[in-house]
Amino acid sequence: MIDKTASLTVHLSVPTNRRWSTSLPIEVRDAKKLVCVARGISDGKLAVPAGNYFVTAMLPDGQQVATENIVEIAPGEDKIVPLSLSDIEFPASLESKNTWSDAVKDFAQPVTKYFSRVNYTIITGNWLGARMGAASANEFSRAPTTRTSLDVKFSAQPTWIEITEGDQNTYLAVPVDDDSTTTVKWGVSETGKLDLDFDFSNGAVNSFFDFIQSDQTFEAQSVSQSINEQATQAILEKRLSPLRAVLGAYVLVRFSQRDDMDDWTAKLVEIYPWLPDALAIRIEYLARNGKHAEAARLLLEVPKRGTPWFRSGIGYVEKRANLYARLGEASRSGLELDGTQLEQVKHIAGTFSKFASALDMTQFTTVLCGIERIA
Amino acid sequence: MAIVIDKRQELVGQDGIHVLIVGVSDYLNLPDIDDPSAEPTWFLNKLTSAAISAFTTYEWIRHSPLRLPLKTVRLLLSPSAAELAAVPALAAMPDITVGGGRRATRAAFDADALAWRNDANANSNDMTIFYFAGHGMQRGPEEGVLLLEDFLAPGPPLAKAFEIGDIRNGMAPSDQLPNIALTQFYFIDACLSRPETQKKYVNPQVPNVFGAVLNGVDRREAPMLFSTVDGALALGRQGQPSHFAEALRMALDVAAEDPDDSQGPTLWPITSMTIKNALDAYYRKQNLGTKVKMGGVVGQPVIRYLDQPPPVDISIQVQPGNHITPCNIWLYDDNNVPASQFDAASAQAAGLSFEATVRAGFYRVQIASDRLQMNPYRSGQKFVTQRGPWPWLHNLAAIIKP
Repeated sequence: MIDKTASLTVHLSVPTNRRWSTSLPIEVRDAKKLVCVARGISDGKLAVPAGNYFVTAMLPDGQQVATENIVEIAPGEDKIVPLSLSDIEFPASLESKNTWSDAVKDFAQPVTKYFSRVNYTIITGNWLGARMGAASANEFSRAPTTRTSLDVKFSAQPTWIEITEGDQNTYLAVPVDDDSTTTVKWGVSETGKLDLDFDFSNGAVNSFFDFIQSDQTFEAQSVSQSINEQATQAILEKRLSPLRAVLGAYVLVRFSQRDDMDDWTAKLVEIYPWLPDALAIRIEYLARNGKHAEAARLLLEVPKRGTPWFRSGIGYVEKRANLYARLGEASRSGLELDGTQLEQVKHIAGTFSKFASALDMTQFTTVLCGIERIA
Repeated sequence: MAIVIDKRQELVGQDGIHVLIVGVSDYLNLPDIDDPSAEPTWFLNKLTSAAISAFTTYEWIRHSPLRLPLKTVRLLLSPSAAELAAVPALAAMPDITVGGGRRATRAAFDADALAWRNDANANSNDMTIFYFAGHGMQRGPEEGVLLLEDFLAPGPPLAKAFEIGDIRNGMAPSDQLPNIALTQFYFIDACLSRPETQKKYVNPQVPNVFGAVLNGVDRREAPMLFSTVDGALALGRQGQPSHFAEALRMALDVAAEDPDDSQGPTLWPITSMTIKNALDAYYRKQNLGTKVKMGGVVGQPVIRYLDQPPPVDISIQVQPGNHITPCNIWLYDDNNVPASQFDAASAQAAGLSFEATVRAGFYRVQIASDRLQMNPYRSGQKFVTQRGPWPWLHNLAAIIKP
């Protein structure tokens, strides 16, 4: 009997030192029916039946790069398919000038901004814990700046940007990966619209973030599935960027593809205590699986971990805290919260309800508009 | 009760769809559309297209083949006078004048939502569709308060409203609802503003319709599509369906992107994601300056299958156009046949950018010009669907003769 299975691996020639210098999602479509027979990531082996295919690499801005001709794959063949992206214009990385050695570095800025009525402050530390009484107030610090662009180095302490205009405060989370640097640029247009741009110093994180931000959901799911396949071991061995892992987890939870996530969402919480989104994801994962007592227990940790860096995390915490606050008093709820804990859950629910109402819904990262000043 | 289609007996033992549609334009306690907005009425006015949007959605659902047959449809409408005048079929609906049993009051909504959920709890393979058009207030990425006809009636300020989260949580599988339909579509056609007036009240309470329960293992696919984001302008149109309703109708007709042959013949599914992409494309084309937002337990549920590739509006642009004319441009399909929809003459007249409608599939562009070093130019293949991005750019600057 002839083995009709085969495989192909797409090798991309991607320009180096650009924003998306990484492996990219691949689609393999039957040349006749146009049906997608495999989705995956470049440099990964894709199992396909023998046949004739269109092979396409997908870019975060929606561009496609396809093979010139139909790819014929014989039974049992393990084909390498080269794809050149040299004609494609890849966006540049955000520029940084690494001339300072402290954790937060400023960039040169046009002089006119020094006289702006908009004030910027860098907040470092867990301000949520301080606000909710979970940590002492001196665990976060404030540093005024005249800049609108920063390199933020990983320090296990969250960094937020405060933008103050009159009595209105806006707070931007700056996600930073383990042992890495994030470049963030921000600006407020005349109409008050916030422009926000991140570079995570990692092509894989940048491209994944851009797929999500631009609603390229098929591609975001391909990347997420590839993360899911190797996450537990990769997290244990610290081969997987935790920031990329939480992005993948958000996508998988969102698309109800939660199989195989139990171990590694737990490991994210355990190994990366500085990553607030790991907790938000784990709470939502447990809650969707009906494990509410465990989710409620973890919810109590939120003030210690800090405010999630991504919008979905705020929504998850707010939704679950409100539900548990309503049901916690019922003796048959099964939430196993004592009186003090229930009060804490109510406090979290109240705080996150305000955050949820203040979210800038056009941003994928957390941007809180019009909340009380963090002081 | 507002049930307008009831095939529960006819479809016993079969999978089917339960629909609840609500459209509120005629807010009894809000000023007319042309009157000044005022703080006591939360700076809100009556609407002019919510009921008509709900009604046209109902008409579409009634006449179009979805993945499953309709088992029940419930319809609550509070139309404005302009809408009644514009659409005779809407005016002919019984019990939709003020005080009628099919008006979208909180009491009617309670009764119909509970009945809808009860029907949906008969079979986990069923599907539900919830559509609301009217005023709303945003409370988070997936939370909002939707206002019914009697909003601001005497009593607590939000007593005549309901929370999206209450509906979503209340439709989750639980000990009380072990057989709830696991495919649930929610379409929220409301300008989710954040009125300052809301802040006057300390955490204004919205009475539950369903009440909070803890879900069991939640395997739902339950996407929620929101028509606008915070701060965006209301997308209503006087006496016509809203842009969201119009775009949704078009999306449900053609928004397929990814063929599937897992059930035998090749079919083109319309899913939550392809609907969102279609709505965004429509908003972009209409320059509405906003995007549809999707929340909930998104998944990728299929609402409908098409049996052939859908038509796709495409645009192609060749740069730098003035350096390669005269030239001929063809769009070839995957059989190397020029796509019949392409008109080379008009493309040239339009300065080397053109628009066409083709069936979804693989295409390539070929350009023949004596000004090109590599003549003819042949682009790579592109899987053409509504996702674009458009225009499809071909920059030939590098291969133009000196």
